[in-house]
Amino acid sequence: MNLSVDIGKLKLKNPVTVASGTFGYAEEFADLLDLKSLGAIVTKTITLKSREGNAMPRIIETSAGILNAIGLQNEGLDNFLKVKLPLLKLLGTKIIVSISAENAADFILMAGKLENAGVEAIELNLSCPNIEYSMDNNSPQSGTGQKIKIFAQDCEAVFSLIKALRKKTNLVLIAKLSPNVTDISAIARSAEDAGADALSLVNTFLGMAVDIENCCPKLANITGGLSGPAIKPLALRMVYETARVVSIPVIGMGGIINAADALEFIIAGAAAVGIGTANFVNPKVSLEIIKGLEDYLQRKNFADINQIRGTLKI
Amino acid sequence: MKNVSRCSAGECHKITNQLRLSISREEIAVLYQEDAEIIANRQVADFIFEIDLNVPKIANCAMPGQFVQIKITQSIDPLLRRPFSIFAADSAAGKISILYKVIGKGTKILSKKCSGERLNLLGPLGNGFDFSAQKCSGHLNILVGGGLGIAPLVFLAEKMKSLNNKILVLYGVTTAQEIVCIDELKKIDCELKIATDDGSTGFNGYASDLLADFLCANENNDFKNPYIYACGPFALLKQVHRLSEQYCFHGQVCLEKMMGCGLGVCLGCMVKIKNSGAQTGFSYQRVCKDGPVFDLHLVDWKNEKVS
Repeated sequence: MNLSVDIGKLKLKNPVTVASGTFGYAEEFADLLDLKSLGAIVTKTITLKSREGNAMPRIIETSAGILNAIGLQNEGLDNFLKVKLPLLKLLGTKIIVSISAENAADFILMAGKLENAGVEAIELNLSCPNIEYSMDNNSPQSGTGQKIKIFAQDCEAVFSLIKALRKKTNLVLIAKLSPNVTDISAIARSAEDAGADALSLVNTFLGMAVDIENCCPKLANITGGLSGPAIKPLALRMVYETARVVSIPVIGMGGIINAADALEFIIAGAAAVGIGTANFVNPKVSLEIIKGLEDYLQRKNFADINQIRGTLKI
Repeated sequence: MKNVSRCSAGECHKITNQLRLSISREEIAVLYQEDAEIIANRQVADFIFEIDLNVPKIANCAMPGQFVQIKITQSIDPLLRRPFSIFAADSAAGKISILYKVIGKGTKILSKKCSGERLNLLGPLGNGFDFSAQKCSGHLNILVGGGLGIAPLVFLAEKMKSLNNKILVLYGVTTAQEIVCIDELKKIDCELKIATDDGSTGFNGYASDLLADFLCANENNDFKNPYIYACGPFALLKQVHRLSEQYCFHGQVCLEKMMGCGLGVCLGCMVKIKNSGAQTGFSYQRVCKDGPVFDLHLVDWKNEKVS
């Protein structure tokens, strides 16, 4: 039975990855599961310089979901290269480094350093809903110093950034897209046209929660990103609409908590899946999902997971 | 009470940075995910329950101040696990106990669970109290607990008892109906003082008032240099810190925050902690992974809000 899938030139032993920001740098889970069994580990997003993140409270439980506004707290690229990457390389599975930056120049600088350090693939976090990005000053499409809330809300910004990165790096480029857009398939096509190797969707849905006793937002950041089972049908629809219009692989994610959820995304067109919030609830969930995919293939008499991708009958 | 500072802030912090390093070196790396059978789940006071769980691996290595994350229901609502401080661990019987108050959706469901049912646990999580000889011996150890903050302190007192340390427990609750752990505390050779907000039993006031009175009364005798372990509501811990600056004592606090993962990856339960070494100022640290026990003098009490 074959579970392996290709994400550009990156070969995963199975289609189950752990989503950025929900698995730290993997060491935190080392006591709880066999990390090398995972298809890939996507790191917590790294930025060029360290970031303190947003004020507290940053995380609120909602019905079947979590709202978060962490604000990309991390120790910065140099610390990642020195402290975290050497450990990640020992794990025996594919590592996808999630990165974010305010402009193309910083993205290119980071990609170069990561490529030199032996990294194979990066996920471009263009879609964190909790920070502000300034458009690249050299981009012909944008005004100088213009601020946008989410990179991945603008086709031209996505295109020019990925185009610029593609020229400079041979890394597998995975664009992480935001669901907070009118037409995600248009953004997806811009990323593909610019040379992205794969797409990762969706990031969290912008939402909020109110404390009715004190008449204030529950998050210090006022709004945050919603994840968890609450968003699964919304994410699935977007993966379906995207996978049918692009030819590069889609890593589908949003509220997956079991093998049946993962299969819905694969049947709707995803080449691989990302497990996010479910890692908090059950650290072993990704391994259970891999087992569930095997059981499904066996029961349905398929020899290869790729045989069921996009088999949705309309 | 005299309003005199008996050590400069700089002096205090030099010592406590060393303390912090020694705490982090003792980080316990062993972590398990275990299906637990409920041995008993009974009400012990107003809205307060004690649950005993059969979790041999966790029981074998749990230390005072550490906690477990419990998946209370198979359903997706509530979705997240709930963190609970460990109240007792019996490695021979493979059992841990937890005290919890019914406050929200999760604890309400938990209170209806019966013996024989199963729950999934992650633990032991976080860094517990440091009660090594260099911290405890030669001092009077004062354990200051507010409400269910008493739970990890009782566990701590039991562990410290075997080291022949002198222990004073100052325990504050809202009202007499909320008092728990009296039997356990009586078994331990320690002095116990109780305060209630409404004066229904013991001293009429807060646990921090008991501490202030004790410090004031013993300013010039052998007990003038105590070491404090505190757990409870934020306001109580802040008062303990204020007294520590006035009377120049050291100690550790066990903090509580809403948590996402409990494993150190979501970065949702942060608290500002004083930077070590040459760096000035404060940085966010994870209550779940870097704590929940922190050096009393390193927490950014001024800017920390009640949560």
